[in-house]
Amino acid sequence: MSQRQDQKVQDRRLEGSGRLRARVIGVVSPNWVHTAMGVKFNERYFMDPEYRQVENRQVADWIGTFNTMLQTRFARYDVDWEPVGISGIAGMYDPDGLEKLTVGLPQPFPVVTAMFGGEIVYFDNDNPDSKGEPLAGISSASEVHIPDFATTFPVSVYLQQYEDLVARFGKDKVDLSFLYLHSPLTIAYRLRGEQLFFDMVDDPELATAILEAAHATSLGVYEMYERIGDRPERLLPIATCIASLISPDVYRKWEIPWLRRQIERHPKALVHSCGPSSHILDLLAELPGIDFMEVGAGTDIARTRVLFPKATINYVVDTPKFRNHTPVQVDAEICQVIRDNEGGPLTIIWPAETGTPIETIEAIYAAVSDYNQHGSEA
Amino acid sequence: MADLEVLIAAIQDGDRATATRVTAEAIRDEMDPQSILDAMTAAMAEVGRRFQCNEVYVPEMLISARAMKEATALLEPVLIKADIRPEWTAVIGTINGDLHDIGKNLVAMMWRGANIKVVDLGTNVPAERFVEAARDHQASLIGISALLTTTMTGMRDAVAAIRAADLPGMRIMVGGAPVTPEFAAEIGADAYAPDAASAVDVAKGAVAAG
Repeated sequence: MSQRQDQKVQDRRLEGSGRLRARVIGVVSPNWVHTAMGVKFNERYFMDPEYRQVENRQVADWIGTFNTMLQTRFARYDVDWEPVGISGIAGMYDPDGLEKLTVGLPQPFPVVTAMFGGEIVYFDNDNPDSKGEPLAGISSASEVHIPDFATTFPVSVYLQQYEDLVARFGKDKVDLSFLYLHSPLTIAYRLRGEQLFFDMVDDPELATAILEAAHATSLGVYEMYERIGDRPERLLPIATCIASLISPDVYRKWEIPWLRRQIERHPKALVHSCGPSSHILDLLAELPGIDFMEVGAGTDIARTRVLFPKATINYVVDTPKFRNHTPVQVDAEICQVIRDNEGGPLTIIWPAETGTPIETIEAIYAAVSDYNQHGSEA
Repeated sequence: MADLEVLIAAIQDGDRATATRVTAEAIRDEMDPQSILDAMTAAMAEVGRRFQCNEVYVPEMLISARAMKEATALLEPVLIKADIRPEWTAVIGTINGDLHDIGKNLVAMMWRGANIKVVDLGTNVPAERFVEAARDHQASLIGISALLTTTMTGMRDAVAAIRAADLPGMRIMVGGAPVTPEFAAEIGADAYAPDAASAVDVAKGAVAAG
C-alpha cells in the first residue's frame, strides 16, 4: 500500500482529451530486499531505531541503484512513476530529503494485537505478524477492555523511543506513524479468531464490544501518533484486508458502520482491499469521501469506476500471479483494467516478489505508456 | 420420522439447534446411520459449492461446519456401533514459518464434512511433524498449505522429507494462494487444490489413485 496517494491527478488531465494519464507505482517485498542484501527484518530492526537507520541506509542505496536501473531501462515509456519502495516498511524515503529515524512497527496488525496481549512474531524476510488471538478465551462483553495507549506495550516503548530521539536529533528528523489503519473487522478477527463469526450469531453484544475495542484502539493510536508528530491533516488510509473472506451481509453489519465512523473523522480517505472485492463495492459506495479505492486483482474495475466516478482507482496486481505470469498475460490484464477504468484517474501498483522477471514488470510500463499516448483504444 | 431434508437445510443454514434436534430424532427413530451421515456430507458439499460460487463466504461456512460438527458428535457413537468409520485419515498443516491458517482451516473443515478424519497440526509446521503425525495416525494423505511466497518454498523440503520417510503410498497435496499446479508438480506433490471446495474431490482422487 502506497503512502504517496496525494497526487494531483487533476494536473495530469490530458489537454482536450477528457481522460487522465495513468501512473505506475512499484513495491518490492521485504523478501526481495532480504534476498538481495541480507537485511533481516527482525525484532532489532523494528525495535531499535538507530540500528534500523543503519540498515535503511544500505537498503536505500540498493533501492536507489534498482530505481536507476528501472529508470534507464524504462526511459522510453511515457509513464509517470515514483521510486520503488518496500511494501510495509516505513521511513525509507522522506519528501524533504531528511534521513528520518522511524519509530515502531508501521502496521496496526501486530501492534494492536500485542496491546491486547498477543505476541509479535518477526521474520527475516517478511513484515512482522501477530501470533495467537488474545481475546479468544473471553466469554462476555464485560471482559473487553480498551488498553491505555500510552502505557501499554509496544506503544509505550515507541513513545519513549520517540521522546529520546527527538531530544537528541530534533523533531523534524523523527517519524512516528502507522503507514495505514487496518479496519476494525480485520483487527477484531485477529483478536478473537474464528470465534468472532460465531459471536456475531450467538452473542452480538460480545462481537460488538470486540469491534468497538479494535476500532477505538487502532484509530486512537493512529490519531495519537498524528497529534504527537504534528502532522497536517492528511489522507486516512484504511485497509479492509478481511473483505475478500466476508459476505456482503456480514460486511454490511459488522464492518461498514465502523468504517463510516473512521472515514467521517477525516476529510479524505483511501480504502484498500487485498483481494477480489466486487461483492463489497456497493456497500463502500454508500460511505462518504472515499477519494482512493485500492483494490486487488479480480475486482470488477468497470463497476468500481461507475460507483466511484471521481475516485482514483489503485489497481494492485496479484503478487503470485505477477511473479508467474508471462509478459503477454500481464499486458492483457493491465489493458483490460485500463479499458474498464473508462479514462478516470488510475494508478497501477505492481508488488514484486523475489523471482519476478523484469520483463513482466516492463509489460506494465509498456501498457500504461501506450494508454497515456494513445488512449484506451490503443 | 426425522426429516433428513430438514437436517440438510439446517447444516447449510448453520442452524445448529435444528441440526442437532433432527439428528437426535433420526437416531431415536433408528434411521440408518449411514443415511444420516450421507445427509450431513451432502449438506457440506453444497456449502462448499456455494463457497466456490461466492454465494457464501468464510463466516457462513464456519457456521455451517459448526452445525455439522455438533450433529456429528451426536451421531458418532451410533456410527462406531454400526462400524461406520471415516473413509481414511488426512494430516494437514501450514508450512514452517507461515502463521496463516484460514485456507488450511477451510480445507480441514471440508474434509471433515466429507467423512475424512483430519489431524490438524496447526500453523508453522516443520516437515518432521508431518511425517510423525502421518505415521502415528496411519494417514493416507498429507495436506500442506502456504499463504506466502516466502514460505511456500519450504513445501519442497517438506515433500522431500516425507518422501524420504518410510511412508509407503503416502499422498501429498499442496495448496494456498501463491501455489500453482506447476509448482506442485515441480516439488513432487501428488495433488494441488486451488480452493477449499475442490480440496475434497482432489484429495479423494489422490488417495484413490495411490
